[in-house]
Amino acid sequence: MSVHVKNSTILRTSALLTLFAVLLIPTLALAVPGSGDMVSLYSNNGREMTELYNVIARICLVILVLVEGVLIFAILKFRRRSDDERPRQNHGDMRLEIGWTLAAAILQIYIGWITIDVMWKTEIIPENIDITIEAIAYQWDWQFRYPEHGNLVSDDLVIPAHANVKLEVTSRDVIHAIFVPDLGVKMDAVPGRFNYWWFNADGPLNQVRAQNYPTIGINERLYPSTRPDFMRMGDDASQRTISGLERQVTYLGHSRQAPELSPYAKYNAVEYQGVCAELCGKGHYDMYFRAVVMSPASFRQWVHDKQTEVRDADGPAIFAARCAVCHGAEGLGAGDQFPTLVGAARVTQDTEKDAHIGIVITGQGVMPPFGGVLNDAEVAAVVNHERTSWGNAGGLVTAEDAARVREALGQPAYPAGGVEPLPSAELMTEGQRLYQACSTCHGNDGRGLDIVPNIAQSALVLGEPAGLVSLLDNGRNTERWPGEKTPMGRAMADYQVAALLTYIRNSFGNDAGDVQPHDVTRIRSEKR
Amino acid sequence: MEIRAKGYLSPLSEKGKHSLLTYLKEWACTTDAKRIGVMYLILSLFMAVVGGVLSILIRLELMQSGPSIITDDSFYNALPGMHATAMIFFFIIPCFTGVGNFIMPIQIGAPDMAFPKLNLAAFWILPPAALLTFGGFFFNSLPEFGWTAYPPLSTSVYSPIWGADLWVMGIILVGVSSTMAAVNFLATAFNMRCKGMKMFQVPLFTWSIIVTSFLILAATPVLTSALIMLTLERTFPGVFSFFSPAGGGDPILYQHLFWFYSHPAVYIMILPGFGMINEIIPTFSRKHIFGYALMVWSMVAIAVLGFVVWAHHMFATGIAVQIRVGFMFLTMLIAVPTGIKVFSWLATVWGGSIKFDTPMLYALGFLALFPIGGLSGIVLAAVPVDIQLHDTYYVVAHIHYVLVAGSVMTIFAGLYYWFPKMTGRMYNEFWGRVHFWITLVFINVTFFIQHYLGMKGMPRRYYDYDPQFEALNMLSSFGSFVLFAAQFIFLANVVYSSFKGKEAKANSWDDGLHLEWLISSPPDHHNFHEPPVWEPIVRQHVGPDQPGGLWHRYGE
Repeated sequence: MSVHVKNSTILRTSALLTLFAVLLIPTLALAVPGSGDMVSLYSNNGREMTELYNVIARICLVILVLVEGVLIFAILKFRRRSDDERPRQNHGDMRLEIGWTLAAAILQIYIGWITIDVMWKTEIIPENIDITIEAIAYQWDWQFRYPEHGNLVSDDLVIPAHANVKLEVTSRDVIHAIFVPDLGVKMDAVPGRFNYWWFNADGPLNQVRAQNYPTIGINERLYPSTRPDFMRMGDDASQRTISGLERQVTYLGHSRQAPELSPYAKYNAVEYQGVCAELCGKGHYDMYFRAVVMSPASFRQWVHDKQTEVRDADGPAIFAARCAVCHGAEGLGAGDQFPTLVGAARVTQDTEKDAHIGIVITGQGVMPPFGGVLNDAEVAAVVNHERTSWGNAGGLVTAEDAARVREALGQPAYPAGGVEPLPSAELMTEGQRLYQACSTCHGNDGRGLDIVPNIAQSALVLGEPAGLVSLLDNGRNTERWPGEKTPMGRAMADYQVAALLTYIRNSFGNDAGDVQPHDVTRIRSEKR
Repeated sequence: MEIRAKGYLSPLSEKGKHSLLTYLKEWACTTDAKRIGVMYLILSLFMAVVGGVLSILIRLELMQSGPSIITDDSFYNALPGMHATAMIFFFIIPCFTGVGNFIMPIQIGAPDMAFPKLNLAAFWILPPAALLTFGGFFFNSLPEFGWTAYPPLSTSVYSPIWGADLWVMGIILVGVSSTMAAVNFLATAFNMRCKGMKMFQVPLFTWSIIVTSFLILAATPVLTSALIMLTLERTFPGVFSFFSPAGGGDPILYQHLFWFYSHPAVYIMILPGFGMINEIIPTFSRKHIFGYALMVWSMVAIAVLGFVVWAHHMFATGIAVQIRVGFMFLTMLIAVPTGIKVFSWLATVWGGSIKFDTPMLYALGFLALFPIGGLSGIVLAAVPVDIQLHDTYYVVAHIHYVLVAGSVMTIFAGLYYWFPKMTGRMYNEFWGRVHFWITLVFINVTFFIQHYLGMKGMPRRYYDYDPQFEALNMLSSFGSFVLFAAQFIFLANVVYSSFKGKEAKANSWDDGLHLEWLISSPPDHHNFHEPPVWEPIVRQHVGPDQPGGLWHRYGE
């Protein structure tokens, strides 16, 4: 008998220890709110939400520990010790019951109160919105339209840092939801209505530090310095380029490969992963996009690049990226919803050429329009790919056909790129603004103080732009005073350098012609 | 072959004693609430296995990043919705209806339900409903829009498949069935109580069935109407456009209607469980429930509040900020009555004399884990946090802590508790405990990690995911496999013990308080040989510092 009792004691003790361990795991896990579990840390709003989460999670943790503590204590203390044990009955206690009801209610009201505070801060759209972007979802991808930048359309959400961004979220077909965890962006995309969300992202930290956020430990001395060697406090930061992508997205789902070198590598930017959060059908898991936060200068450069972009019209690649998800890699379609392209009349008959181009441009039914993202050459390339692959033998179309169909359908023109020169006035305005930073030394009239060289009538300024670009990017290092000419250009985008050069070449009595951003791009890449 | 069953299990006719077929026919056409209850339980446990298999398929696919065992993303997309449908509509809700059918009439001293034939009809709607709902499996056209079926995704434009129509029909039928059962429960509870059984003497399990039935009665028609609108729109596209913006409809309208049912449905799935815990904890602590009246009123409060919080599922759909504030406060208020219940259970255990049989282990396990689900509910009620966690794995973790650590644990507690009453035999205690410990540990292994996945930004219902989430998903999958496998211990235990278990006493746990423990195990065909009389319990409140109070223990 005694042996039996001993066994059951061991069993009970081990069981209780297991229970304790099981409860300890979640408790310990909950014990670390604020350790970066909520990842929305890179925008003002995201940090507010994360902070709120941390507060509520701590309150909940305390309650959990209390409940589990009382429970474990009761289990240990009040276990049945003999079979004829009869505890004293107790049907309730009004003071206790009212007490914990009130305590729970007050706690909830407190949590509600601090939440409302954060809601007002993060969800009421402020007056001073710097940029408005339309986020349009469709099965199964995103398009981002920039109404303030000539209705530019991008596959990635590219935004300037430290700007109040307003997203107008909508959908072309079913309900989707835009979700960028790191920035604290989430809003349903509902067809037939616009939903609004705003945020203010930090952007690349190598240039700008996040406001009031001490956990981000970028060392200040890594900022480019032009101090003489003996005054430098740390690494040779002046040799470090501050342009470049700070963080790169490594996974973009099945239909979009994340390449080794991001297309945003040349910008001063940081990338975050964006997804669709609301179940939207077959390709729901495959709606990844990049949310790219750029320094304001890089953003302007990106807008310029985007507007003047020349892309390879690679039919098979475009088909794989945009069409294959529904029509299949072999063009066989899927089910009733996604028709096969193999042998289809529209794809093979010459009389259907315009209809084929038209459906690519405007979409039909569940098929989204691609007219805004593919230029004429690309439309022609993907149409030709469909007309000549998988045994199809339809006649070919040209970019001119695409332009003609576009016009006939009343769609805005989208020719196949070619670099449109920027108007001088625009470059001059931007250049004048930028020159304010130079005027302290070089003077408002382009005549420098004392040893500072004149800009007016300078042979270097009036000569080939390459010399000036090189001076701006590298500075000038003389023995007398190392780093005499600050490498100001290093922090400037091509667009800005072009604007500044255009300004100084055409002011103060100078007259040497415009410098276009693509010239600067070429000069910089040749030097590299 | 001779059928030698006792009590209500015994054959009704001479022929049934010798022919299994006749015996089974007697079961199929029975109007005995106990037999119908058992049939509900068998059906729901079968559907639980189906739902479990579906969840294992999901976890197998998610074990690693990249397509693995499921090559078709469409098939995968159907799985979460089918898993939820099986578990919610065909496991948890019918399971509680089954236990309610068996226990509730006995607890109030009635011979049967008020409408026995309606009862049978309500049950027999379910199997065809299940066939319809899962009909898509048989001809490869599964609805891929989740259990929520949000239009426009669920309209015929974006889901042009037959399986979706069948699914909608099946769910409408389930609604009809549970409405019929609810009417029956209410008629029984209000009209057939025995002498001395005043409303505030009714056992708390019966109270939970009453409150749940009101919820079903008020909420289900809304779901049914939403689904009928959806069917009309699917069948006559272009004629009806309630939800399609192209025809002037609003997709958000459907979400309002759907959640007006589906939020109360969460309480439909947990209140009877609360009721079971209210029975089990007093029995194994040898104490009356602490704060009976407040327990009843907190259940009523949960039910009433449950109707005015539905929009917290829709915080990210763009509804106005002022409206969200209101719904947030109401949502948080639900934590108050839920807190009252948890604290009252703790106070019941306190100062008791606790015996750790399997039902009590499950009740205590529920008491330990359910607060995690409840507290993550408070986190999710805070609008800005909710919007960030909405549709991520955090929500998956939350709902599984509520439904698995909550509803399913209480179902196990209740089934182990009333198993002797239902079969007249004891289950195997050792294997019951093994089942409990594995379940308790692996619920946490499976679901706790999912909180992290959600906070790191992994969206739910994803066929494939970023490799950075792989390790945690692997662990969660591993946990789910063990959790699933452990449930076969329970099934084997139930099947084996039903035939070979030790014979059970009338009051199987010695301390059973309510009427079901006064009659034989298993009960006879009409429960009571003569109308019972309930000796009212006088519930006297005691201060904490008085003898018998919270800080005192008898004999010390």
